[in-house]
Amino acid sequence: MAVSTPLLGVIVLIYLMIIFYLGLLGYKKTKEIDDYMVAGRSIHPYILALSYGATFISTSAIIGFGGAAGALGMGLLWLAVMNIVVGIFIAFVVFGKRTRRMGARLNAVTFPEFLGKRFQSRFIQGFSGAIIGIFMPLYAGIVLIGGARFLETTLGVNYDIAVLILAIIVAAYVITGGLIAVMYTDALQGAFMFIGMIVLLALTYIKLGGVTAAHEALSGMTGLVPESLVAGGHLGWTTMPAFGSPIWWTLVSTLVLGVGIGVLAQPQLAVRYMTVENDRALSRAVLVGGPFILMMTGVAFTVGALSNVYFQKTQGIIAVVAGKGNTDLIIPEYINSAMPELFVVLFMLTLLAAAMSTLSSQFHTMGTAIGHDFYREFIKKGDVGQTVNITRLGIALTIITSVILAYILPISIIARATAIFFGLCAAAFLPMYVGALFWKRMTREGAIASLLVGTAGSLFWLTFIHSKEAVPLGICKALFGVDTLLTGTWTVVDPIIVATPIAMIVAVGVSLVTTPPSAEHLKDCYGK
Amino acid sequence: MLTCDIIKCTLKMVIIMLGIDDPYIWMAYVLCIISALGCIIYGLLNWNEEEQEEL
Repeated sequence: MAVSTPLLGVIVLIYLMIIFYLGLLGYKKTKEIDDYMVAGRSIHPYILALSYGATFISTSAIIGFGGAAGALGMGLLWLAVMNIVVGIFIAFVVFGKRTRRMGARLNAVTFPEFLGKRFQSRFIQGFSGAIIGIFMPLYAGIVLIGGARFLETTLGVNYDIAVLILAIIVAAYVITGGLIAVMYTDALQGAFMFIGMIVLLALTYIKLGGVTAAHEALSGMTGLVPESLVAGGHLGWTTMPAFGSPIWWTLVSTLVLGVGIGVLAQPQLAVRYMTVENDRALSRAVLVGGPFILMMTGVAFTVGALSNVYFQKTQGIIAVVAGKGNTDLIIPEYINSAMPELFVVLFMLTLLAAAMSTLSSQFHTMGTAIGHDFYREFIKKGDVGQTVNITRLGIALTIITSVILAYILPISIIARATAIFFGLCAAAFLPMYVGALFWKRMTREGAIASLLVGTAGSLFWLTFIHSKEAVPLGICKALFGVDTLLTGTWTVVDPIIVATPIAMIVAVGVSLVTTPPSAEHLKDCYGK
Repeated sequence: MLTCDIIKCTLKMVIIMLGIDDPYIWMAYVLCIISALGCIIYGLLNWNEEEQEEL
């Protein structure tokens, strides 16, 4: 997406200046530990909603998943439904309110600390912090690459330098301004993203002759689905894949369920419930969050699928061919060839905002996980009083790790990073998190067992069974001489479908045979 | 009977307007919009929600 115009450079410069101003505002407002970690628990509901949404939606959600819709079709809209219903409504109303109340009662400032205090276990806090510190840099690596590619292609900056520039810019305001700076900048970036995606949807439908005409044209292209995709179960871009086919499993288990449910146990999102002062703020945030996510994933998936109609009309090819076989190139190709130049500039900014908003939250969560949860609470048993400084150091260390990973890891592994991290978080944290909020009988031992089984089960499945990760990782091949230990449908079933239910069963089983938490502790957690 | 006819008619209109035949796809399309509207309605109805002390 090369836009040879100084206009973009000037706009990016102005954008960065506003970002730095908001970062400075965050720095000035940060006086206590709570300010740095949970934005003083008094953030405005709209800022919460935009920040949550902008963190949730990274560049890869727009470009990667939009491109996936270009290949797989509008069936991906079920993920958009999940994103709104589970990722916003259930997350805020069912999980968010309880998390906020219990987090405030227990004085928790991070997601691992919330879990650790609910189950009275430093191990849970430390281990959860370590999981985040070790695996989130992978996820941050892919977002960093996406943002750096933007700088490379649009401003002509060398890729290696672009990675560094982006990391340093985001690090500057995250390290100094903490979560207040992160959420203020997220909100601005979210607003950019919202406008960009509305315009994209409107221009797409106008270009293709309206809603009905565009969809009918896409339905009429069923005969153009490539043989390789037909063999995998693809039945057309406005039809669900054949039930039980490999494409159906990928769509339903990895994309719709994996990402759709996995979002509930994302530490960088869960911590946001604790940034507002009352339930009312969470209810008001739902009002903004629902439409925001509709305009992000709903639009990306619709436009991604409809790009087939545009490419067919103008070049006589389908979207996958226009992207030269790489689904990540479908949306950029479409924007570049179908949209006016002014919009290309706006969309560039949308992508940069999406990358930076996700990165800043990742850096903050990784830093607090390493500095506060793992080092201060687990290693130092809570003795060190320099939480903020240690967290800043943690942020710096994890940023360096993310940059190194972005440089050295093969793109095939980095490309799977989002799915790996989402799946791991769901299996490791979700059973324990659900139990923490809704089941008073859940014990520390049950929580620890589910954490360990969920982590090990998820890592085992993606290393040895799920071919999309097992093949590029190559560990199974090196140890056993085969790409995956199981064959057939098992290799396309996502780890979240297997590891999370097992961890859930273990959590219940172990809790029932161990001593329940004391009534006094439960009162501290749940109230009367 | 009349309710069933109205529902059938409405569904047909939705299908024609959307230009998508597969119910699993137009349902997803419509549900996206309905769920976002639901979020707006929930936010408005609970605008001044009273604070709960217990979980």
